[in-house]
Amino acid sequence: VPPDHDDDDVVPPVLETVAWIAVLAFVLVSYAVRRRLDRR
Amino acid sequence: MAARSPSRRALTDPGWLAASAGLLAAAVPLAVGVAAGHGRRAGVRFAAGATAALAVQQLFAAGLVAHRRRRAGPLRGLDAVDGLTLARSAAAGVIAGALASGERRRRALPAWMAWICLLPSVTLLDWIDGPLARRRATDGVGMVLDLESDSWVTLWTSLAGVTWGELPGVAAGPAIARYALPIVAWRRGSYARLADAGRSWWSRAAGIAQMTTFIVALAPFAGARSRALARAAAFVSAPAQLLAVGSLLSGVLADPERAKQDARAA
Repeated sequence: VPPDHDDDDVVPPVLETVAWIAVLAFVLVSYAVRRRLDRR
Repeated sequence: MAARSPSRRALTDPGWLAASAGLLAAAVPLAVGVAAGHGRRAGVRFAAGATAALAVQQLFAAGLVAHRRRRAGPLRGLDAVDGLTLARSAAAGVIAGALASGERRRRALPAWMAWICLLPSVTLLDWIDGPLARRRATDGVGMVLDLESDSWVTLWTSLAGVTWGELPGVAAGPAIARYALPIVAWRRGSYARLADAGRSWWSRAAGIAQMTTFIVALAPFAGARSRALARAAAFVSAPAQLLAVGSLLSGVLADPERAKQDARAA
């Protein structure tokens, strides 16, 4: 049994989607910073 | 007075000492937080795990830097950009602490701390230290720290992935196998070749796929579908990364410069 099998539904799907969008935004901004540093 | 050995010089470099002290100091408030949330025993174990991982990382990297100095002659001391590179390995310390704490639930405080440290470590910090380092002369010190910080973070992340991220054991294989590379390269004097080969697009793609799998698997907010996706991805990303490690190893073993040196020695 996975360690947190009993709390699969603790995070509502909408909140999980919002969290993944925030992660993606952070990754994209990080990459943009890198590109900007590369160009200088 | 006898000259100090390269190993001792690396370990007593003011920048090295400052980075080591900073990394260890950063673990203290996190350990206090774990103790407050999960009890003193978990906090002490977190502190011990984080300290051990950071100490091993610092000693191992110092050994490699000293090795480069023996081969390449005197190199500069550590600067702020090197400190940034070393800060990436703080994530390894936090993950090691989380593993040691005994609180291995995905949504427990140590797992949250580990994931929050991991994300910027493998994205923002990893991506900006390269361009910053290139503004000054690139040298062996930065190369060693960059490669070894990456490897150390990946190793502990993979262990967390199979412990509380529900990933199959094979997911940790490439990160463990990768440690054959610096040892072989160290013995053959081909460390620079290792860095060059690691820049190939397929090697980078395999590394990105592997780390994406870990980030999804360990995300405290990940639902059942995301975790199932990460488990499935591990069966693709782990063999791909194993192939990349194998290719790097064969590249180090077939290093033409080293072969020329061997031929000359013969």
